[in-house]
Amino acid sequence: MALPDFAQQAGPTPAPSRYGEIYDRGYKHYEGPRLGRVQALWALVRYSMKRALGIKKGVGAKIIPILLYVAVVLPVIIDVGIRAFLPEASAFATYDDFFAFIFIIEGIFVATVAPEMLCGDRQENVLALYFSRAITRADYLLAKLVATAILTLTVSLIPAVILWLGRQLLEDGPLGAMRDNLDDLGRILAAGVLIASYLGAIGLLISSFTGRKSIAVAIIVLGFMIAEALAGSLLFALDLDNGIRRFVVFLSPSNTVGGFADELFHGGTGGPSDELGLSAWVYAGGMVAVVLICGAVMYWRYVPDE
Amino acid sequence: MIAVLWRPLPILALTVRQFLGGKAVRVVTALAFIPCLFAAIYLINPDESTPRQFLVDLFLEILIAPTLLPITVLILATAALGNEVEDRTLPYLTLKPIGRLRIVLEKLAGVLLVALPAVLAGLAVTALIAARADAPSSRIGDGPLGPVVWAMLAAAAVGTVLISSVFLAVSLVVPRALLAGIVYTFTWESLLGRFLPGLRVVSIRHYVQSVFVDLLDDPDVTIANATSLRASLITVAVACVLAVLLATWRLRRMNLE
Repeated sequence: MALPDFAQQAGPTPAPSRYGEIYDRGYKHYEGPRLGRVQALWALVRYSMKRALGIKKGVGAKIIPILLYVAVVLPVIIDVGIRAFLPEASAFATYDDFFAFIFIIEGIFVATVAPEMLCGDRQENVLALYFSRAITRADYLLAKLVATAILTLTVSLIPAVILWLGRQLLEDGPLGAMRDNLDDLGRILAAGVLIASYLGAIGLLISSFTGRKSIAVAIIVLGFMIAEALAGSLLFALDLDNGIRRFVVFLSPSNTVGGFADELFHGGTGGPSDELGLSAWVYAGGMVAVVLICGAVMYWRYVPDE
Repeated sequence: MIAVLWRPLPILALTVRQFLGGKAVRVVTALAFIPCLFAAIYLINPDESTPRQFLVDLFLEILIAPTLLPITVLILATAALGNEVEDRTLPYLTLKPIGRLRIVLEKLAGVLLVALPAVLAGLAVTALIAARADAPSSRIGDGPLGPVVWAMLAAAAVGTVLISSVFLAVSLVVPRALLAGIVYTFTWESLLGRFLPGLRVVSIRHYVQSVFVDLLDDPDVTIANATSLRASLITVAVACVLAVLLATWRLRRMNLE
Protein backbone atom coordinates (compact mmCIF):
# COMPACT_ATOMS: atom_id res chain seq x y z
CA MET A 1 0.00 0.00 0.00
CA ALA A 2 1.38 3.35 -1.10
CA LEU A 3 1.67 5.96 1.55
CA PRO A 4 -0.09 9.32 0.88
CA ASP A 5 2.31 12.01 -0.21
CA PHE A 6 1.91 14.48 2.66
CA ALA A 7 4.82 16.59 1.38
CA GLN A 8 3.03 17.40 -1.82
CA GLN A 9 -0.22 18.19 0.03
CA ALA A 10 1.53 20.66 2.39
CA GLY A 11 3.51 22.36 -0.31
CA PRO A 12 7.28 22.62 -0.55
CA THR A 13 9.06 21.71 2.70
CA PRO A 14 11.91 23.83 3.99
CA ALA A 15 15.38 22.39 4.03
CA PRO A 16 15.79 20.15 7.08
CA SER A 17 17.30 22.12 9.94
CA ARG A 18 20.33 20.80 11.85
CA TYR A 19 19.40 18.39 14.60
CA GLY A 20 21.57 19.80 17.32
CA GLU A 21 24.16 22.31 18.23
CA ILE A 22 27.14 22.10 20.54
CA TYR A 23 27.30 24.82 23.13
CA ASP A 24 30.82 25.18 24.46
CA ARG A 25 30.29 28.34 26.42
CA GLY A 26 30.44 26.47 29.79
CA TYR A 27 33.50 24.40 28.96
CA LYS A 28 36.21 26.95 28.52
CA HIS A 29 39.68 25.68 29.09
CA TYR A 30 41.50 26.93 32.15
CA GLU A 31 44.17 29.34 31.02
CA GLY A 32 45.47 30.53 34.40
CA PRO A 33 48.69 29.43 36.04
CA ARG A 34 48.89 25.78 37.06
CA LEU A 35 50.19 25.77 40.61
CA GLY A 36 50.77 22.06 40.99
CA ARG A 37 50.41 19.51 43.77
CA VAL A 38 51.93 21.58 46.52
CA GLN A 39 49.39 24.34 45.99
CA ALA A 40 46.56 21.77 45.88
CA LEU A 41 47.80 20.36 49.14
CA TRP A 42 48.03 23.80 50.74
CA ALA A 43 44.53 24.65 49.48
CA LEU A 44 43.25 21.52 51.20
CA VAL A 45 45.07 22.49 54.40
CA ARG A 46 43.45 25.96 54.38
CA TYR A 47 40.01 24.59 53.55
CA SER A 48 40.24 21.95 56.29
CA MET A 49 41.27 24.54 58.88
CA LYS A 50 38.38 26.84 57.93
CA ARG A 51 35.91 23.98 58.10
CA ALA A 52 37.16 22.79 61.49
CA LEU A 53 36.93 26.29 62.96
CA GLY A 54 33.39 26.74 61.64
CA ILE A 55 34.34 29.59 59.28
CA LYS A 56 31.56 30.14 56.70
CA LYS A 57 29.27 28.02 58.88
CA GLY A 58 26.57 28.98 61.37
CA VAL A 59 27.26 30.49 64.78
CA GLY A 60 26.81 27.12 66.49
CA ALA A 61 29.88 25.68 64.74
CA LYS A 62 32.07 28.52 66.01
CA ILE A 63 31.08 28.43 69.67
CA ILE A 64 33.27 25.54 70.87
CA PRO A 65 36.50 26.74 69.12
CA ILE A 66 35.96 30.28 70.45
CA LEU A 67 35.37 29.00 74.00
CA LEU A 68 38.51 26.86 73.83
CA TYR A 69 40.65 29.75 72.55
CA VAL A 70 39.32 31.97 75.34
CA ALA A 71 40.00 29.21 77.89
CA VAL A 72 43.64 28.94 76.81
CA VAL A 73 44.50 32.61 76.20
CA LEU A 74 42.78 34.10 79.25
CA PRO A 75 45.06 32.43 81.85
CA VAL A 76 48.13 33.63 79.90
CA ILE A 77 46.88 37.22 79.89
CA ILE A 78 46.04 36.94 83.58
CA ASP A 79 49.52 35.53 84.29
CA VAL A 80 51.27 38.36 82.46
CA GLY A 81 48.94 40.91 84.10
CA ILE A 82 49.62 39.56 87.59
CA ARG A 83 53.36 39.62 86.96
CA ALA A 84 53.16 43.23 85.80
CA PHE A 85 51.89 44.27 89.22
CA LEU A 86 53.31 41.54 91.45
CA PRO A 87 56.60 40.32 89.92
CA GLU A 88 56.93 37.42 92.38
CA ALA A 89 53.45 36.04 91.74
CA SER A 90 52.59 33.87 88.75
CA ALA A 91 49.88 31.48 87.60
CA PHE A 92 52.47 29.24 85.91
CA ALA A 93 55.76 28.79 87.72
CA THR A 94 57.45 27.31 84.64
CA TYR A 95 56.63 26.68 80.99
CA ASP A 96 56.06 22.97 81.59
CA ASP A 97 53.34 23.95 84.10
CA PHE A 98 51.68 25.81 81.25
CA PHE A 99 51.89 22.81 78.90
CA ALA A 100 50.48 20.55 81.63
CA PHE A 101 47.66 23.07 82.23
CA ILE A 102 46.63 23.30 78.58
CA PHE A 103 46.75 19.54 77.97
CA ILE A 104 43.05 19.01 78.74
CA ILE A 105 42.00 22.00 76.63
CA GLU A 106 44.27 20.81 73.82
CA GLY A 107 42.77 17.32 74.10
CA ILE A 108 39.20 18.67 73.88
CA PHE A 109 40.26 20.89 70.97
CA VAL A 110 41.68 17.90 69.08
CA ALA A 111 38.54 15.87 69.89
CA THR A 112 36.38 18.56 68.25
CA VAL A 113 38.69 19.41 65.34
CA ALA A 114 39.98 16.00 64.16
CA PRO A 115 36.54 14.52 63.33
CA GLU A 116 35.74 17.66 61.31
CA MET A 117 38.85 16.96 59.23
CA LEU A 118 38.04 13.43 58.10
CA CYS A 119 34.50 12.32 58.99
CA GLY A 120 32.60 14.77 56.76
CA ASP A 121 34.47 13.68 53.62
CA ARG A 122 33.80 10.02 54.37
CA GLN A 123 30.15 10.53 55.22
CA GLU A 124 29.46 12.66 52.14
CA ASN A 125 31.40 10.25 49.88
CA VAL A 126 33.57 12.97 48.34
CA LEU A 127 36.90 11.17 48.70
CA ALA A 128 36.70 10.00 45.07
CA LEU A 129 36.44 13.65 44.01
CA TYR A 130 39.54 14.58 45.99
CA PHE A 131 41.54 11.70 44.56
CA SER A 132 40.50 12.51 40.99
CA ARG A 133 42.42 15.79 41.34
CA ALA A 134 46.12 16.47 41.65
CA ILE A 135 46.47 15.18 45.19
CA THR A 136 47.23 11.59 46.16
CA ARG A 137 45.93 9.73 49.18
CA ALA A 138 49.19 10.39 51.03
CA ASP A 139 48.86 14.11 50.18
CA TYR A 140 45.30 14.10 51.50
CA LEU A 141 46.37 12.57 54.80
CA LEU A 142 49.39 14.86 55.04
CA ALA A 143 47.18 17.91 54.44
CA LYS A 144 44.76 16.79 57.15
CA LEU A 145 47.60 16.11 59.60
CA VAL A 146 49.21 19.49 58.84
CA ALA A 147 45.86 21.27 59.21
CA THR A 148 45.18 19.54 62.54
CA ALA A 149 48.71 20.25 63.77
CA ILE A 150 48.55 23.94 62.76
CA LEU A 151 45.20 24.39 64.50
CA THR A 152 46.45 22.57 67.60
CA LEU A 153 49.55 24.77 67.52
CA THR A 154 47.34 27.84 67.71
CA VAL A 155 46.09 26.47 71.03
CA SER A 156 49.44 25.36 72.45
CA LEU A 157 52.23 27.32 70.81
CA ILE A 158 50.80 30.82 70.33
CA PRO A 159 49.69 31.23 73.98
CA ALA A 160 53.08 29.85 75.12
CA VAL A 161 54.92 32.35 72.89
CA ILE A 162 52.68 35.15 74.22
CA LEU A 163 53.58 34.01 77.74
CA TRP A 164 57.30 34.03 76.88
CA LEU A 165 57.05 37.41 75.17
CA GLY A 166 55.05 38.92 78.03
CA ARG A 167 57.61 37.76 80.57
CA GLN A 168 60.50 39.24 78.59
CA LEU A 169 58.70 42.56 78.10
CA LEU A 170 58.21 42.82 81.85
CA GLU A 171 61.97 42.66 82.41
CA ASP A 172 63.98 45.87 82.81
CA GLY A 173 65.91 45.23 79.60
CA PRO A 174 63.47 43.40 77.29
CA LEU A 175 65.91 42.88 74.40
CA GLY A 176 68.61 41.52 76.66
CA ALA A 177 66.08 39.27 78.40
CA MET A 178 64.88 37.97 75.04
CA ARG A 179 68.46 37.20 74.01
CA ASP A 180 69.16 35.47 77.33
CA ASN A 181 65.98 33.37 77.22
CA LEU A 182 66.10 32.45 73.55
CA ASP A 183 66.73 28.82 74.51
CA ASP A 184 63.38 28.81 76.32
CA LEU A 185 61.69 29.97 73.13
CA GLY A 186 63.36 27.12 71.22
CA ARG A 187 62.10 24.63 73.79
CA ILE A 188 58.60 26.13 73.60
CA LEU A 189 58.65 25.74 69.81
CA ALA A 190 59.85 22.14 70.03
CA ALA A 191 57.30 21.23 72.71
CA GLY A 192 54.44 22.99 70.92
CA VAL A 193 55.10 21.36 67.54
CA LEU A 194 55.66 17.88 68.92
CA ILE A 195 52.68 17.90 71.29
CA ALA A 196 50.38 19.30 68.57
CA SER A 197 51.48 16.64 66.05
CA TYR A 198 51.20 13.87 68.67
CA LEU A 199 47.68 14.72 69.83
CA GLY A 200 46.55 15.58 66.30
CA ALA A 201 47.75 12.26 64.90
CA ILE A 202 45.91 10.29 67.61
CA GLY A 203 42.70 12.27 66.99
CA LEU A 204 42.93 11.79 63.23
CA LEU A 205 43.63 8.08 63.55
CA ILE A 206 40.46 7.54 65.57
CA SER A 207 38.45 9.77 63.22
CA SER A 208 39.62 7.80 60.19
CA PHE A 209 37.64 4.77 61.40
CA THR A 210 34.20 6.36 61.34
CA GLY A 211 32.10 8.66 59.19
CA ARG A 212 30.07 9.94 62.15
CA LYS A 213 31.63 12.98 63.82
CA SER A 214 29.85 12.51 67.12
CA ILE A 215 31.02 8.90 67.42
CA ALA A 216 34.58 10.02 66.66
CA VAL A 217 34.38 12.69 69.38
CA ALA A 218 33.04 10.11 71.85
CA ILE A 219 35.77 7.59 71.05
CA ILE A 220 38.56 10.20 71.23
CA VAL A 221 37.41 11.47 74.64
CA LEU A 222 36.78 7.96 75.94
CA GLY A 223 40.04 6.72 74.39
CA PHE A 224 42.07 9.34 76.26
CA MET A 225 40.31 8.52 79.53
CA ILE A 226 40.67 4.74 79.14
CA ALA A 227 44.35 5.11 78.19
CA GLU A 228 44.94 7.16 81.35
CA ALA A 229 43.11 4.61 83.51
CA LEU A 230 44.94 1.66 81.88
CA ALA A 231 48.32 3.33 82.42
CA GLY A 232 47.40 4.04 86.05
CA SER A 233 46.31 0.43 86.61
CA LEU A 234 49.48 -0.96 85.02
CA LEU A 235 51.72 1.35 87.07
CA PHE A 236 49.88 0.13 90.17
CA ALA A 237 50.10 -3.53 89.18
CA LEU A 238 53.71 -3.73 88.02
CA ASP A 239 56.56 -4.05 90.52
CA LEU A 240 58.78 -1.03 91.02
CA ASP A 241 61.83 -2.95 89.75
CA ASN A 242 60.04 -4.09 86.57
CA GLY A 243 61.84 -2.62 83.54
CA ILE A 244 58.64 -2.32 81.50
CA ARG A 245 57.10 -0.05 84.15
CA ARG A 246 59.10 2.95 82.91
CA PHE A 247 57.60 2.66 79.45
CA VAL A 248 53.98 2.29 80.62
CA VAL A 249 54.00 6.08 80.72
CA PHE A 250 53.62 6.04 76.91
CA LEU A 251 50.14 4.53 77.30
CA SER A 252 49.00 7.75 78.92
CA PRO A 253 48.97 10.84 76.66
CA SER A 254 48.87 13.25 79.62
CA ASN A 255 51.86 11.61 81.34
CA THR A 256 53.79 11.46 78.05
CA VAL A 257 53.20 15.15 77.32
CA GLY A 258 53.79 16.11 80.96
CA GLY A 259 56.98 14.04 81.19
CA PHE A 260 58.33 15.44 77.91
CA ALA A 261 57.68 19.07 78.91
CA ASP A 262 59.08 18.41 82.37
CA GLU A 263 62.32 16.88 81.03
CA LEU A 264 62.63 19.54 78.33
CA PHE A 265 62.39 22.49 80.70
CA HIS A 266 63.93 20.95 83.82
CA GLY A 267 66.57 18.91 82.00
CA GLY A 268 66.00 15.92 84.27
CA THR A 269 66.68 17.75 87.53
CA GLY A 270 63.93 18.41 89.99
CA GLY A 271 60.99 17.54 87.76
CA PRO A 272 58.19 15.17 88.76
CA SER A 273 59.12 12.71 85.97
CA ASP A 274 62.61 12.13 87.39
CA GLU A 275 61.64 8.82 89.03
CA LEU A 276 61.06 7.21 85.63
CA GLY A 277 64.55 8.16 84.46
CA LEU A 278 63.52 8.86 80.86
CA SER A 279 65.18 11.72 79.02
CA ALA A 280 63.39 14.29 76.85
CA TRP A 281 64.81 12.49 73.80
CA VAL A 282 63.13 9.21 74.84
CA TYR A 283 59.79 10.99 75.30
CA ALA A 284 60.25 12.78 71.96
CA GLY A 285 61.13 9.47 70.28
CA GLY A 286 58.01 7.87 71.72
CA MET A 287 55.82 10.73 70.51
CA VAL A 288 57.35 10.68 67.03
CA ALA A 289 56.83 6.91 66.91
CA VAL A 290 53.15 7.40 67.79
CA VAL A 291 52.81 10.00 65.00
CA LEU A 292 54.46 7.62 62.49
CA ILE A 293 52.33 4.66 63.58
CA CYS A 294 49.14 6.74 63.33
CA GLY A 295 50.21 7.97 59.88
CA ALA A 296 50.93 4.42 58.70
CA VAL A 297 47.57 3.09 59.94
CA MET A 298 45.74 6.03 58.34
CA TYR A 299 47.56 5.43 55.06
CA TRP A 300 46.55 1.78 55.22
CA ARG A 301 42.94 2.92 55.78
CA TYR A 302 43.00 5.18 52.71
CA VAL A 303 44.98 3.08 50.21
CA PRO A 304 42.84 1.70 47.37
CA ASP A 305 41.51 -1.84 47.72
CA GLU A 306 42.76 -3.02 44.34
CA MET B 1 15.84 -14.47 64.70
CA ILE B 2 15.44 -11.04 63.12
CA ALA B 3 13.24 -12.58 60.40
CA VAL B 4 10.90 -13.93 63.10
CA LEU B 5 10.54 -10.43 64.54
CA TRP B 6 9.94 -8.81 61.16
CA ARG B 7 6.16 -9.34 60.94
CA PRO B 8 5.06 -8.63 64.54
CA LEU B 9 7.71 -5.97 65.33
CA PRO B 10 8.98 -4.45 62.08
CA ILE B 11 10.63 -1.35 63.57
CA LEU B 12 12.42 -3.45 66.18
CA ALA B 13 13.68 -5.85 63.50
CA LEU B 14 14.75 -2.90 61.32
CA THR B 15 16.62 -1.25 64.20
CA VAL B 16 18.46 -4.41 65.17
CA ARG B 17 19.34 -5.03 61.51
CA GLN B 18 20.64 -1.45 61.18
CA PHE B 19 22.82 -1.85 64.27
CA LEU B 20 24.17 -5.27 63.31
CA GLY B 21 24.94 -4.09 59.79
CA GLY B 22 26.81 -0.96 60.88
CA LYS B 23 29.94 -0.23 62.85
CA ALA B 24 28.13 0.94 65.97
CA VAL B 25 27.60 -2.56 67.33
CA ARG B 26 31.28 -3.39 66.87
CA VAL B 27 32.30 -0.20 68.68
CA VAL B 28 29.83 -0.90 71.48
CA THR B 29 30.98 -4.51 71.87
CA ALA B 30 34.63 -3.41 71.95
CA LEU B 31 33.84 -0.78 74.58
CA ALA B 32 31.79 -3.23 76.65
CA PHE B 33 34.75 -5.61 76.89
CA ILE B 34 37.30 -2.95 77.91
CA PRO B 35 36.82 -3.75 81.64
CA CYS B 36 38.29 -7.19 80.81
CA LEU B 37 41.61 -5.45 80.10
CA PHE B 38 41.53 -3.93 83.57
CA ALA B 39 40.75 -7.33 85.06
CA ALA B 40 43.69 -8.84 83.17
CA ILE B 41 45.97 -6.09 84.50
CA TYR B 42 44.62 -6.77 87.99
CA LEU B 43 45.72 -10.42 87.65
CA ILE B 44 49.34 -9.27 87.26
CA ASN B 45 49.43 -8.23 90.90
CA PRO B 46 46.26 -9.39 92.70
CA ASP B 47 47.80 -9.00 96.18
CA GLU B 48 47.00 -5.26 96.28
CA SER B 49 43.25 -5.85 96.74
CA THR B 50 40.69 -8.67 96.74
CA PRO B 51 38.75 -9.45 93.54
CA ARG B 52 35.61 -8.17 95.30
CA GLN B 53 37.22 -4.81 96.10
CA PHE B 54 38.64 -4.59 92.58
CA LEU B 55 35.21 -5.14 91.00
CA VAL B 56 33.50 -2.68 93.36
CA ASP B 57 36.09 0.03 92.62
CA LEU B 58 36.02 -0.67 88.88
CA PHE B 59 32.23 -0.43 88.74
CA LEU B 60 31.60 2.36 91.21
CA GLU B 61 34.53 4.75 90.86
CA ILE B 62 37.15 3.99 88.23
CA LEU B 63 35.44 3.19 84.99
CA ILE B 64 32.07 1.57 84.47
CA ALA B 65 29.36 3.67 86.14
CA PRO B 66 31.12 7.05 85.70
CA THR B 67 32.26 6.76 82.08
CA LEU B 68 32.06 3.52 80.18
CA LEU B 69 28.41 2.55 80.67
CA PRO B 70 27.00 5.98 79.72
CA ILE B 71 29.16 6.35 76.59
CA THR B 72 28.63 2.75 75.44
CA VAL B 73 24.85 2.98 75.67
CA LEU B 74 24.76 6.57 74.37
CA ILE B 75 26.24 5.50 71.04
CA LEU B 76 23.30 3.18 70.35
CA ALA B 77 20.57 5.24 72.05
CA THR B 78 21.35 8.40 70.10
CA ALA B 79 21.82 6.50 66.84
CA ALA B 80 18.46 4.65 66.90
CA LEU B 81 16.34 7.68 65.97
CA GLY B 82 19.13 10.26 65.59
CA ASN B 83 20.55 8.54 62.51
CA GLU B 84 17.06 8.41 60.95
CA VAL B 85 16.81 12.19 61.46
CA GLU B 86 20.34 12.79 60.17
CA ASP B 87 19.91 10.54 57.12
CA ARG B 88 16.40 11.97 56.46
CA THR B 89 14.84 8.49 56.57
CA LEU B 90 12.48 9.22 59.46
CA PRO B 91 9.54 10.12 57.12
CA TYR B 92 9.67 6.57 55.69
CA LEU B 93 9.10 5.18 59.19
CA THR B 94 6.29 7.55 60.01
CA LEU B 95 4.57 6.82 56.67
CA LYS B 96 3.98 3.25 57.80
CA PRO B 97 0.61 2.57 59.46
CA ILE B 98 2.30 2.27 62.84
CA GLY B 99 1.60 4.54 65.81
CA ARG B 100 4.31 6.96 66.96
CA LEU B 101 4.33 5.48 70.46
CA ARG B 102 4.91 2.04 68.98
CA ILE B 103 7.77 3.37 66.82
CA VAL B 104 9.46 4.82 69.91
CA LEU B 105 8.90 1.66 71.98
CA GLU B 106 10.22 -0.61 69.26
CA LYS B 107 13.25 1.63 68.72
CA LEU B 108 13.92 1.52 72.47
CA ALA B 109 13.53 -2.27 72.48
CA GLY B 110 15.97 -2.46 69.56
CA VAL B 111 18.57 -0.46 71.49
CA LEU B 112 18.14 -2.65 74.56
CA LEU B 113 18.27 -5.85 72.54
CA VAL B 114 21.73 -4.90 71.24
CA ALA B 115 23.14 -2.93 74.20
CA LEU B 116 22.12 -5.16 77.12
CA PRO B 117 23.78 -8.42 75.94
CA ALA B 118 27.01 -6.57 75.07
CA VAL B 119 27.18 -4.67 78.38
CA LEU B 120 26.23 -7.64 80.54
CA ALA B 121 28.54 -10.05 78.70
CA GLY B 122 31.44 -7.59 79.13
CA LEU B 123 30.80 -7.37 82.87
CA ALA B 124 30.36 -11.13 83.27
CA VAL B 125 33.65 -11.89 81.49
CA THR B 126 35.39 -9.20 83.57
CA ALA B 127 34.11 -10.85 86.77
CA LEU B 128 35.24 -14.27 85.54
CA ILE B 129 38.75 -12.97 84.81
CA ALA B 130 38.97 -11.22 88.20
CA ALA B 131 37.72 -14.40 89.91
CA ARG B 132 40.80 -16.28 88.68
CA ALA B 133 42.94 -14.26 91.07
CA ASP B 134 42.34 -16.13 94.28
CA ALA B 135 40.19 -19.25 94.21
CA PRO B 136 38.89 -19.51 97.84
CA SER B 137 37.82 -15.88 98.19
CA SER B 138 36.49 -15.27 94.73
CA ARG B 139 33.86 -17.89 93.91
CA ILE B 140 31.01 -16.57 91.82
CA GLY B 141 27.52 -17.86 92.64
CA ASP B 142 27.17 -18.47 96.37
CA GLY B 143 30.74 -17.28 97.00
CA PRO B 144 31.78 -13.82 98.23
CA LEU B 145 32.03 -12.54 94.68
CA GLY B 146 28.46 -13.55 93.79
CA PRO B 147 26.56 -10.59 95.31
CA VAL B 148 28.97 -8.11 93.71
CA VAL B 149 28.51 -9.64 90.28
CA TRP B 150 24.72 -9.76 90.53
CA ALA B 151 24.56 -6.19 91.87
CA MET B 152 26.86 -5.07 89.07
CA LEU B 153 24.76 -6.78 86.38
CA ALA B 154 21.46 -5.46 87.80
CA ALA B 155 22.74 -1.88 88.21
CA ALA B 156 24.21 -1.93 84.70
CA ALA B 157 20.89 -3.19 83.30
CA VAL B 158 18.98 -0.42 85.11
CA GLY B 159 21.48 2.16 83.84
CA THR B 160 21.24 0.84 80.29
CA VAL B 161 17.43 1.12 80.29
CA LEU B 162 17.49 4.65 81.77
CA ILE B 163 20.23 6.02 79.49
CA SER B 164 18.59 4.45 76.43
CA SER B 165 15.17 5.95 77.21
CA VAL B 166 16.42 9.43 78.05
CA PHE B 167 18.81 9.82 75.14
CA LEU B 168 16.43 8.27 72.63
CA ALA B 169 14.15 11.22 73.46
CA VAL B 170 17.05 13.70 73.49
CA SER B 171 18.08 12.59 69.99
CA LEU B 172 14.74 13.86 68.68
CA VAL B 173 15.17 17.24 70.35
CA VAL B 174 18.92 18.01 69.99
CA PRO B 175 20.63 17.64 66.57
CA ARG B 176 23.93 16.34 68.01
CA ALA B 177 22.58 14.19 70.81
CA LEU B 178 25.75 12.13 71.27
CA LEU B 179 27.78 15.29 71.87
CA ALA B 180 25.10 16.51 74.26
CA GLY B 181 25.34 13.15 76.05
CA ILE B 182 29.13 13.40 76.30
CA VAL B 183 28.86 16.91 77.70
CA TYR B 184 26.22 15.65 80.17
CA THR B 185 28.42 12.73 81.25
CA PHE B 186 31.69 14.59 81.64
CA THR B 187 30.55 18.08 82.60
CA TRP B 188 27.24 17.69 84.38
CA GLU B 189 27.83 14.38 86.18
CA SER B 190 31.61 14.39 86.63
CA LEU B 191 32.58 18.03 87.05
CA LEU B 192 29.49 19.85 88.35
CA GLY B 193 28.30 16.81 90.33
CA ARG B 194 31.53 16.97 92.31
CA PHE B 195 30.93 20.55 93.46
CA LEU B 196 27.11 20.62 93.59
CA PRO B 197 25.90 17.50 95.43
CA GLY B 198 22.26 18.51 94.85
CA LEU B 199 22.67 17.61 91.18
CA ARG B 200 22.44 13.92 92.11
CA VAL B 201 18.64 14.19 91.88
CA VAL B 202 19.00 14.52 88.11
CA SER B 203 22.06 12.29 87.70
CA ILE B 204 21.77 8.94 85.95
CA ARG B 205 25.06 7.85 87.46
CA HIS B 206 23.76 8.46 90.99
CA TYR B 207 20.83 6.11 90.50
CA VAL B 208 23.01 3.41 88.93
CA GLN B 209 25.44 3.65 91.85
CA SER B 210 22.56 3.69 94.36
CA VAL B 211 21.05 0.51 92.88
CA PHE B 212 24.46 -1.16 93.02
CA VAL B 213 25.11 -0.15 96.63
CA ASP B 214 21.58 -1.09 97.77
CA LEU B 215 21.66 -4.50 96.11
CA LEU B 216 25.13 -5.25 97.48
CA ASP B 217 23.99 -4.25 100.99
CA ASP B 218 27.52 -4.01 102.33
CA PRO B 219 28.23 -1.35 104.99
CA ASP B 220 31.77 -0.95 103.60
CA VAL B 221 30.51 -0.08 100.13
CA THR B 222 28.63 3.22 100.16
CA ILE B 223 28.21 6.42 98.19
CA ALA B 224 27.30 9.86 99.47
CA ASN B 225 23.52 10.31 99.94
CA ALA B 226 22.59 6.99 98.35
CA THR B 227 18.94 6.76 97.33
CA SER B 228 17.03 3.69 98.56
CA LEU B 229 16.46 0.83 96.14
CA ARG B 230 12.70 1.37 95.94
CA ALA B 231 13.05 5.14 95.37
CA SER B 232 15.75 4.57 92.74
CA LEU B 233 13.68 2.05 90.81
CA ILE B 234 10.55 4.25 90.96
CA THR B 235 12.56 7.27 89.76
CA VAL B 236 14.10 5.25 86.95
CA ALA B 237 10.69 3.90 85.88
CA VAL B 238 9.09 7.37 85.94
CA ALA B 239 12.02 8.88 84.02
CA CYS B 240 11.77 6.13 81.38
CA VAL B 241 8.01 6.61 80.95
CA LEU B 242 8.41 10.40 80.70
CA ALA B 243 11.22 10.01 78.18
CA VAL B 244 9.13 7.67 76.01
CA LEU B 245 6.16 10.05 76.17
CA LEU B 246 8.39 13.03 75.30
CA ALA B 247 9.87 11.14 72.33
CA THR B 248 6.36 10.19 71.12
CA TRP B 249 5.12 13.79 71.45
CA ARG B 250 8.19 15.09 69.65
CA LEU B 251 7.78 12.52 66.87
CA ARG B 252 4.17 13.69 66.38
CA ARG B 253 5.07 17.38 66.35
CA MET B 254 8.45 17.61 64.63
CA ASN B 255 8.83 18.74 61.06
CA LEU B 256 9.80 15.68 59.05
CA GLU B 257 10.48 17.52 55.79
